[in-house]
Amino acid sequence: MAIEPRTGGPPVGLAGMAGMAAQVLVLRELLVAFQGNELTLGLVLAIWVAAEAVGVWAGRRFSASGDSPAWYSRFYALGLAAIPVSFYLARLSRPLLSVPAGQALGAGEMVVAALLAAGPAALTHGFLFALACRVAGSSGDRGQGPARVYIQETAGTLVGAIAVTVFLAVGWRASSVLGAVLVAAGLGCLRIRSTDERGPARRRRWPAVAAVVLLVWAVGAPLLQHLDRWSIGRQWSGQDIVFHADSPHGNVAVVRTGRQYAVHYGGLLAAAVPVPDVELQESLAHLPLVFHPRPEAVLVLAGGAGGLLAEIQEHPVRRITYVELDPALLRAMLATASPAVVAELDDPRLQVVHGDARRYLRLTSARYDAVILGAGLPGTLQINRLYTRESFRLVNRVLAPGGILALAAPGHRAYLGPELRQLLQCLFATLDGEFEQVRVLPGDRVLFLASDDPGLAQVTGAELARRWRERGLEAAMVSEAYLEYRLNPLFWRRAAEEIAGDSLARPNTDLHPAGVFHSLRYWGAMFTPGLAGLLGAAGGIGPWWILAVPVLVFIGGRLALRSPRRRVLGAVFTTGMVGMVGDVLLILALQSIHGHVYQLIGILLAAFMGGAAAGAHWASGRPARAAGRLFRRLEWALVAFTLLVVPGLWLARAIEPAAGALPVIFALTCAALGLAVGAQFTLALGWLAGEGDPAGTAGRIYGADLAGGCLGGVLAGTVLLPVLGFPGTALLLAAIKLGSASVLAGGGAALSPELAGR
Amino acid sequence: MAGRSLQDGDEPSPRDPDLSSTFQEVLPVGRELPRWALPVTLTLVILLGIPVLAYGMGWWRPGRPGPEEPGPPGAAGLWEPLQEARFYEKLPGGAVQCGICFRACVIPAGGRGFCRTRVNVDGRLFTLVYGRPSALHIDPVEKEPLHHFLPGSAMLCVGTAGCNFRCAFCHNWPLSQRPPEEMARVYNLPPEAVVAFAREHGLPSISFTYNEPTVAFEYLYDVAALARQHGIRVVFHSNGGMKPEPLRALLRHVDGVVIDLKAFTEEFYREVSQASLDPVLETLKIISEAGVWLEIVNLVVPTLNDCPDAIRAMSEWILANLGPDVPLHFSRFFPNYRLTALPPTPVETLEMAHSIAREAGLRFVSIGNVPGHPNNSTFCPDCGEKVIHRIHFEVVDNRLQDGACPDCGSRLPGIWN
Repeated sequence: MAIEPRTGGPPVGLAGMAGMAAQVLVLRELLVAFQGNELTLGLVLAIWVAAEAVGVWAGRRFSASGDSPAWYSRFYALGLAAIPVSFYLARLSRPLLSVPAGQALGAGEMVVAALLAAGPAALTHGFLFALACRVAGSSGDRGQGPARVYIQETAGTLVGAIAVTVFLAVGWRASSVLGAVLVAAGLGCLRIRSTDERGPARRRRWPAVAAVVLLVWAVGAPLLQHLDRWSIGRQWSGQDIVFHADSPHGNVAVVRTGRQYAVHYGGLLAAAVPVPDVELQESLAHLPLVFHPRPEAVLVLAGGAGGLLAEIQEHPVRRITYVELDPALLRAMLATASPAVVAELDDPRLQVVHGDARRYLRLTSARYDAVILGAGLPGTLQINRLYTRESFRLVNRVLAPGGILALAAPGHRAYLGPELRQLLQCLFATLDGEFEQVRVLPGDRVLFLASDDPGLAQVTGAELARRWRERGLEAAMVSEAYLEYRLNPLFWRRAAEEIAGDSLARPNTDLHPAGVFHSLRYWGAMFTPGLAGLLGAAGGIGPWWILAVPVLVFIGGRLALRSPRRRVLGAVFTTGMVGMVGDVLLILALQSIHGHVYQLIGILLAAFMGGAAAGAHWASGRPARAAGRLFRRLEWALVAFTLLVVPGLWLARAIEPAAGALPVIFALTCAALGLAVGAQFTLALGWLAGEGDPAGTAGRIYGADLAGGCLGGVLAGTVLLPVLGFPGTALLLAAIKLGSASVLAGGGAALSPELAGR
Repeated sequence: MAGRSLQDGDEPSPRDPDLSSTFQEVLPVGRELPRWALPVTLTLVILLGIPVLAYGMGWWRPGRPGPEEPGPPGAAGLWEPLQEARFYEKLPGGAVQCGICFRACVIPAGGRGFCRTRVNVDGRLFTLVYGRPSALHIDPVEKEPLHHFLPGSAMLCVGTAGCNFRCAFCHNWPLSQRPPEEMARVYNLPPEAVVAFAREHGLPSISFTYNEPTVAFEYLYDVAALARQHGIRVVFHSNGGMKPEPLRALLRHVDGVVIDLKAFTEEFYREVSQASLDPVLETLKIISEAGVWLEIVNLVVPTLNDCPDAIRAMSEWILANLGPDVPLHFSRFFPNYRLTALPPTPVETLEMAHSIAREAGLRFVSIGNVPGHPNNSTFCPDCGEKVIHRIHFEVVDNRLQDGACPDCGSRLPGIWN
């Protein structure tokens, strides 16, 4: 058995494909376990690259003392076996961590879950990469062999990301996608085995290969199905799961308990039928509609099915439009076969629109007397983008004269903790910036009503009670007395002033999603008070400290990195960090401005990796001198690139109406970023090729790149993006790269005397 | 340079032609800008750019203060003078043992109790929440929930920081699971001010609720004693973890108690609340023996405490030890705090629990947190007629006549006037 002299290209590419598919699928499973928090994206990616780095290190150590080609095929098979292990570890992270039944994961548990899930696949993937580099290096190709491996690996990741995106888009289950990827990558095993053989002997193997694939599929598919059902059951602590689907936008599961169905979207409760959260549904439906003197047209943005629509339909309205992003959610609701759900969705006044709420707001010419936002806490960017100034501006546009926007947020009748208070103040400030009148109705659920009609402020409890009586309305909770109670200043004046009292609260915008920041603090206060405190402290510092970053990086780099090679590795480290943070920034910025990131994440990751492959290919084969010169130029190019991201983001927000173009623009930007990162990796290889240990050098460069990526991933979602927002983070990246470029630029004069042999 | 790779920290050698030529060619002396030129230029660009960006993004406005943080009130400002705790014992070495709750924390000098509100200062135990409530609100008594206590009236509700339990589903976690210095707001409200507030607003009762009142024992005790002098009734809503001695002392001044009986298994108390069942059962017996009005709340959490056998055992225990007239409220759970991976309680589970408790012989069983449910009302146990019609926290109709059923004349236990 042997691998081709130029490193068995197809297996390396297939390993890359399988690795990327594993990464996306594991990430999606973990997002369910983490209840949809996209800010954990950076954390998971960081842990993934850290595990890969450990794998690379182990692979280098191992391959230095053994027959790398011989071991490659064995570890290739092991690497494939590790992928389903990672996938199911992600799905089973809750029971495996012995999280008490019903409890959500805290930050520490999330880290452990991500380590557990990423470990097997990422470790073996990194290990394989190092082995492949060793094989390529031993071919006498010096720096070019590892570079070729990098290109092939990256091209494979491109294919993997696109495959996962396409398969999920056409309705495959995540486990089916996993199976298909494993079968495809499994062909790589057979190819390695067959490279010994030539001519007829090799051709004779293909029927056998096809037979093995079919056999694996025939036996594996039912097994996978069984495993899938079992693991989903364990994921939900043994509860009765009657519906489970992976849609391009997320994961939906329906849990049955007796006659009750609880619909979970992205791991969070979305609705309960037949008896919903009455207090929320009734107050969100009835209060805005009785605040309006004659509501006729109502628009519901998300969260309508499962009780809210039914309450609205109690009113004599003529038209209800319900916009819901994910058709899978409504399929899940209908799977409950609840007569109440069927009835509310069958109402002739109802029109259901599947799609992005912001897009609908932008395109519709209809006007509404009430817009009800039923999306819940703006704890994720997917939801938060409905709570920004940009979104409220669009809502205001579709409101008829006298129209009212209503939204609900968590609250407490008697005491708001610091995090929740700031979140509510932020929502108030955001509404206040777009509407003439904002009215707060505190309680265990805080209700915000906003309108340009000055009459909103004048409505009294007695008036609401009169309208309720005149319209002949009845409800389980809302009544004339309830309406008077909710507007009685004796009970609520103090709390309302507390929420509306901070005129300096930062509004929530697409580019600075303060709603997510405050929600993250609120979540942190529950699970990780230290994180909440850290975020609170970081949020209070302001952006001025960015000024010091280039200087600190420059001084630190000059003092700590005394040898020329270390300075190059330092630059690769910062590039790795900028690449990771930049990639996460672009993904999440697109989510904030455009939405649909669950659907697009594979494409964006693929664009980045594709750019990296192209960059590596473009930069390869250059002599050391040219490589070094280009490397330094790319340092400055990255400074300029990250600086340009700032106006680019503002521009992207401005051209939001060109919805179709935005993902393309962001994908191209990801690709451009990847191009610089990939090119620098290869250039660093070429520049340091003179050391005579290509595999060792490649491993060190890869390690520096991954370490930077790892740090960037941890910082991106937990601190940088929530605190600085998107433009501020881009500016910080520019500052880091400025310092890094200065270390190399300023280092020339210092390096030369050393090299001249003082 | 074959045979050995360059290691970090190695001085590059002129005898190393590959490496030196590589770097010399790429970074030659004399063909560069001054080393400070680029960093300084770009730093200047950023120096000018940041204020523009900060202003554009709304991060900075001249004269604008930073984000509001609650901040600790400061030892001299808010906490002084500290109120010494009651029911504690001094131990050798400067430690003290708190005697307020079942935990009986041994607190070293400078340390705090499990509740985060009792601090050992130089061998003496002090409470940090005396006269320092963070929550002050007027609620209907039905919110407590109290069904046999001045129905339809409003009460002044008071809550402080801290708790001696760690319930994963706590609705009041921002208050109960944090120390006093992390509160967003702390009132300076001595007992006299609490009573004056209630009188000023014409409120017939005061309740210590939201967080666990045990941790504010001294404050509660003094308010209760003072309120009674002014004809204002006092109740408290507790997890039942108070020790018998302080509890008996307190019960002499209060009119009603609501106890959360969270489950009827030690396992639930240990796993979900980091507490213990036995002290709670003892508390219930002491309250009953003292003749103070008592109502019990059981939050039914799917899969954790909804076992019919346990509900039956709980109901039978209540009947045997407290009698049939103690109102028992089964309340619906919604995902909250750390317990967000469970569905809400199915209403049929609550109805099952209601049936079990009624079959066991309890006469006043209700279902809460399900607005509009018929069993949120009060029915005469003798004739079965609805005597108090409630919707959620609203009393729609109170037909009781001086605490008696208007249909059969049967007298219902409770505090009605």
